[in-house]
Amino acid sequence: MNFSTTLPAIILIVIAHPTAAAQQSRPPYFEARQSSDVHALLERNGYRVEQDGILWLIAPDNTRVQLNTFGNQAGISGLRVSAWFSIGQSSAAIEQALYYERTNPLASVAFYFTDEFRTVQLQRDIEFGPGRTEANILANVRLLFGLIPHFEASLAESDPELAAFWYGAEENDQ
Amino acid sequence: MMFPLTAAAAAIVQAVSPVHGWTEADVLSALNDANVSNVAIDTADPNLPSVGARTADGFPVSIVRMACQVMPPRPETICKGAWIIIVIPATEQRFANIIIASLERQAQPPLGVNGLLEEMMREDGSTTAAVALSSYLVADDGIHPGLLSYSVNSLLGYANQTREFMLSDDPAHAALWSGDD
Repeated sequence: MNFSTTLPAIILIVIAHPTAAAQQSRPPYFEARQSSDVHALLERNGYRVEQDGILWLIAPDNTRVQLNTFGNQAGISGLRVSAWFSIGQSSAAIEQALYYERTNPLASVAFYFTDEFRTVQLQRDIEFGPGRTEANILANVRLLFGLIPHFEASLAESDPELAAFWYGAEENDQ
Repeated sequence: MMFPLTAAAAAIVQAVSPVHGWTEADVLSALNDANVSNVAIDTADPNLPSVGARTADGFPVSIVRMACQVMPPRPETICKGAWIIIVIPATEQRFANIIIASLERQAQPPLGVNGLLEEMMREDGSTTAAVALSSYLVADDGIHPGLLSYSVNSLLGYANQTREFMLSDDPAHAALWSGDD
């Protein structure tokens, strides 16, 4: 075989093949044209996405957080994952949540109050900016899921009545 | 015959490879890109290597690197976390309250898009009130090398949105920010 003539020809064939060219030039960063692209990324990696008025992202261990995406017609620019905690009328839990936010830069907290219940949300926003790999987006999502038990424990420790409301109710259910 | 191969090779070279953390030089570069001044390395806590600077308006900016380690063969410390913080001092508590309210209601783009935290730093007799804007980046598994600069500039953009009305509400802010107060 005469490599001096066949090798350039093989290279040109590979380059000319549209799929190969696309793979070679494809940036390593995740791009989402619409929310469903984000959902698909998460579902390919073991999460479930379910809608019941709220769009939920459910981890393999069934922990669920709210999922939002940000963007416009040009594409999706980021996502938010929010874990919800019902805190009854606990003021101590509100103070603890604010303290947690001040001392933990990894996530923010938001409050949602109605006459009937109060909810604290632990959130992490993941903006794509110039680019994130799919693995980095998943690492950020895992980070929020990883914070949930610590945040929950800190709220429970702040208010024994809240802890009894949460965990006592579980015991009764059993 | 070689032209197509050269073009293909160029395309591959142009594809920016992800980074998996930041060195001190990366942080300095991000701040220099943001046109801030007085960029200085803070050596107070070697476990939390940080670099500080000031915006054109005098707002303190810092980037604290976290989750750091030396990853041979590279000799320098590379950190997978970068906590970007910008502080907007206010002459009175009520103006800090206005900053928070304004950013939450009117910031463009809305705060939630940028992974931004805003936090009130209340005046306590020895310190003036301030608002801290921050964002924590995680580089695990690869991000675009420009994301750090992009995030610094996003924060500066939000801080800048507060500038005009703060000066309008109380011109003494200019002296406070410049350190002449």
